[in-house]
Amino acid sequence: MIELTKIGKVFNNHNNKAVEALREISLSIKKGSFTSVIGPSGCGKTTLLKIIGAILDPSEGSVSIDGKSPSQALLKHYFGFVFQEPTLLPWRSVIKNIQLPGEILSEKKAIARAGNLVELAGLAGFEDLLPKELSGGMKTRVAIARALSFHPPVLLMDEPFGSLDEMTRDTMNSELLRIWEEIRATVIFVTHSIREAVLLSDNVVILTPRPGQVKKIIHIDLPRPRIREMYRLPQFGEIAGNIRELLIF
Amino acid sequence: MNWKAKTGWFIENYCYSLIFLAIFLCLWQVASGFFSIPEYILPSPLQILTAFQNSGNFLMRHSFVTLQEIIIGLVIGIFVGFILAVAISFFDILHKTIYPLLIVIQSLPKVVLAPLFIIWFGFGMLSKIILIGLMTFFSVLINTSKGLASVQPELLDLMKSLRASKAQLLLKIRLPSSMPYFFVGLKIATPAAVIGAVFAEYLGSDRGLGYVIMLSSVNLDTSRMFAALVLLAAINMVIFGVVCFLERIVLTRYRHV
Repeated sequence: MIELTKIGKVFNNHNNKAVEALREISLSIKKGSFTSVIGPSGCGKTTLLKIIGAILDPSEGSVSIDGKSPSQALLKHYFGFVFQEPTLLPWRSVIKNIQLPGEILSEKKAIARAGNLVELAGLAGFEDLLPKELSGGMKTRVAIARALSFHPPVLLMDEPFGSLDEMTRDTMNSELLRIWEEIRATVIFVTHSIREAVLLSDNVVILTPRPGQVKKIIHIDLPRPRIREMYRLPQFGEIAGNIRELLIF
Repeated sequence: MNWKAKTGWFIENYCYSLIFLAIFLCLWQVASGFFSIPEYILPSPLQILTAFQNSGNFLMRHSFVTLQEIIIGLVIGIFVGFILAVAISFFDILHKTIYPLLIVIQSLPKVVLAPLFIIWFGFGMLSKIILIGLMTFFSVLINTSKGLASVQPELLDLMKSLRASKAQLLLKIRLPSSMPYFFVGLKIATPAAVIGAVFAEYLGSDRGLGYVIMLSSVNLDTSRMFAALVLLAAINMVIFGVVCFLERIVLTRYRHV
C-alpha cells in the first residue's frame, strides 16, 4: 500500500524563482495494482515518481510505503526504476546490464536470477549482445529486466515506451502485461498515451497542468488478463474518451 | 584486415600526399641549386640528408635524451592529472578548494616557468621533466574531470535508487564513461610535452634536440637544425601514434567505438 498525503513540491528554477510543480497530491495505491499517471507535459508526473522513489524529497506532505517513508523503503530495496531512455551501459552485455543492480547491492541471488529475467523479458538468445546491437524495443526489455532483477515490490516507470514506434509500443504493452501478471509488483506508470494507460491500468490518475493536482482518478473496470484487442471494446473507447475530455478541459 | 587489404588502405589514404611530398622535395632541391640559395639560409633536402649522415650518432644521442624526457614527463603528467581528476570528482571539498586554483595555474603561460625550473632543478633532465609534467597534467585533468561528470542523469538516479556508494559509481559508471574524454586530454598533452622539452633544452641544457637546435643556430649550421626539426616531428608522431593505438584498445574495450 502506497499512501500519498497532500504532496507538494516547489523547485527553484535557474533564475532562483520558485516554481510550484505539484500541489496537494493525495493518492492511495493498492499493493500489486497497476496505476498510470497521465497529464499534460510539465505537470510534474516525473517529479511525483521521483518523490515516491526517494530520489526527490517533497516540499510538503508525506509518503508512506507499507508504513515506511520512501528513504526507509529505499534501504529495503523497494524500488525498481525504468526511465524514458533505457540508459544501459554500452560496455556491458545484456546479461551484465541486468546484473548491475545485483552487483551494486551485492546480492548474489539477484545476480544468479539474471538468467530467469532474460527469459521473462523475452531476451533469450540475446544475453551476450551489446546494447548498440539491440533495437529500441529490445533495449527497453533490458531496462525492465534490470529494474526487476532484485525483485523490488514497487516498479516505477517513467514513460518507458515514449521513444518507441507505435507497433513496438503495442508489443511492449502486451509484454509488460504478461510480465506483470507473473511478478505482480505494484506498478506506477507515467505515460502520455491514453490508450496505453487504459489498456494497462487498474487506475488512471489524471493530473492538471502545472502545478500538478489530482483532477480525477478513474478506475478501469476491464477484465484481466488484458489483451491488446480490448481497445476495440465500446467500453474501452468510452473510458478513453472520458480521459481525453478530462485532459483537455 | 589482412596485409593486402591493409596495404591497399595505406595506399589509398597516403599515396597522394606522399607523391605530393616527393614532388615538393624535388622542386625544393632544384630551386635551391637554380637560385643558389646559401646553405646557412635554407639548406636543400640533400644537404639536410648529408647532415644526418655526418652527425648521425650525435643526433641520435640527443634525440634519445629528448625522447626520454618527454616520455617520463608525459607519464608523470598523465598520472598526476588522472589521479587529481578522480580525487576531485570523488571529494567535493577538493572541487571547492583546489580546482579553482588549478585553473589559475593553467592560465600561466607555463613555458615561461622554464628559466625558473632551470634555476631550481638544474641543467639536467629533472627541470625538463618537471616542466613537461606541468604542461601536460592540466589538459588530462580538465578533460578527465569533464568525462567523469558526463554521466546521464537517469543513470545517476538509478544508482541513487540502488544506494550505490561513491566508489561503486566511480568504478562502474564514471571511469568507463570518462575514457573518451581522457584520451582527448592525452592528445592535447602530447604535442605540449614536445614543446616543453625543446624549449627547456633550448634555454639551458647541454643535451637534447633543443640544445642541438640552439648550438646549430649559433654555428649557423642550418642543415643540422633542419635535421633536428625532422627528428622532433618524428618523435611527436611516434608518441601520438602510440596514444592513438592505446585509445583504440581502451575505447573498443568500453564499446565507445
